[in-house]
Amino acid sequence: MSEPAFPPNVSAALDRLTVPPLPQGFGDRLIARIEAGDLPHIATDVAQHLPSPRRRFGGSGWRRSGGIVAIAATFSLATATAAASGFFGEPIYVPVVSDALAKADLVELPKREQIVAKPAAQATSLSAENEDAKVQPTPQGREAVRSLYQRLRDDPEFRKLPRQERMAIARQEIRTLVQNGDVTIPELRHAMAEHRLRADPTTRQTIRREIVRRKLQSEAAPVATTPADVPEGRLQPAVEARREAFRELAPEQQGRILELRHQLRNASSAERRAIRQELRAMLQSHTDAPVEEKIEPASEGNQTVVR
Amino acid sequence: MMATQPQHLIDQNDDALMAQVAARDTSALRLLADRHAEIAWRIAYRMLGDRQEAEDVAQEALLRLWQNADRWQPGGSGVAAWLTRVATNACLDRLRRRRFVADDAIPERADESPLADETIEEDEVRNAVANCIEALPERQRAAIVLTYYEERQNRMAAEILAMQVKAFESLLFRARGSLRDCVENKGVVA
Repeated sequence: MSEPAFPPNVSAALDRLTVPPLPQGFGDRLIARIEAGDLPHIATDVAQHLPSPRRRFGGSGWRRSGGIVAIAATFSLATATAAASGFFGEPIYVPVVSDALAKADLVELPKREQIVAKPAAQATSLSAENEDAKVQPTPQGREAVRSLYQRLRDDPEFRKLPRQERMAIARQEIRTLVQNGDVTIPELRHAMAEHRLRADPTTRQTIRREIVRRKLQSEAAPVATTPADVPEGRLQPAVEARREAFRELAPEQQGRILELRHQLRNASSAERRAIRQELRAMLQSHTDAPVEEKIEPASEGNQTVVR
Repeated sequence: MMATQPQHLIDQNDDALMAQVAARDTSALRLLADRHAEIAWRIAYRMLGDRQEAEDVAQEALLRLWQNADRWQPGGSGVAAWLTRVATNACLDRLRRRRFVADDAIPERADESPLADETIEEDEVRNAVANCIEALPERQRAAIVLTYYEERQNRMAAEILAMQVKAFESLLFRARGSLRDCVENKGVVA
């Protein structure tokens, strides 16, 4: 003992625990046990003491729970893999597993069933023997207009006709659809808007120009004339202000504005921007309300702002 | 015990005697018992607190030495260290087995105190210390017996108990604190 382990008074008490001498006859009894064959069971390692009692599962509850979860996860993965590989019969599509197996060329991906929208109520009345036949339901709503356009577009005889006749035929067909109740007016408008969007860029631009031209035609006349026939309150305040400013201009300026408006119809976008600036400058000089406030910056280049 | 020792064995060292034991010479084993059985006896007596059990442990340690004599390697730590290790572990095994025995089956410490009046006080101190050592957990008890009574170094005691030295020092620290508190609470210290 290199250091005092206990206080002196405690050490003095501990030293009282003396051990009596080895009992008399210890050696004789030892030799007697050897001669009698009374030997302890031999352990492989004599210094090895009894091992600590082990728990059956070992570890804490968390570790045991983790083991159970790992077993369950492994079982689930094995089952999913077996099902995806067709172990239970037809291969079943399991989202990740099937893709991985197909990528490894182990199985072919099962064909997914095409989800087809149920045709209306008449499809339910079909008999079993007609199930194989493809059902072609009558298109309704916007679909009816689309199919009409498609049918006309695919008809070579129709495409050979002059434009006026083509338009007349199309109008008649649409009128028939509306009369039969296959399409309503709102659906028809939506379908026509879709048709315009699907048209090629050239056609779309032509249509847009035509729309703009018609709007300009309808607006230019009232601006140049006195709007006596227009009910009060129908015109927007900005338009009224512009018209008022137009009326107050000198005749040569009014002529210039009309000339600019005419040029505007066939001008390019850059030219239109310059024309609009000149128009605004001329009108703004004769009105208190600034015209710029009425024109949204985002509408720059849109013909609807020129009214 | 020393009455019938062959003269030719008395001068031999422990390794030579172990060679004789390996040749099944009981006289050599008896001579080794005379030299070192006291160690196993002391350890067992202090750890178990029972005279009969202590003798059983000491005899068991020497019988194991007899059984394993053919595997003895000379030049090692010696017979005394070997017996210390075996006796300590045998005591720990017996203490563990006691856990599964009912309390009333635990043998009472034999009252070996002389009845003379002048020894009554010393007997009280001795019993109090013995009870405090018995109150310690098994390994703490072994740590106190090995380091305090047998004066083994911490490293050797840790090796006997198959522990890291740091872990043993922690164990010994707790054992000393518990024993000191117990002895002081018994009111037997000056």
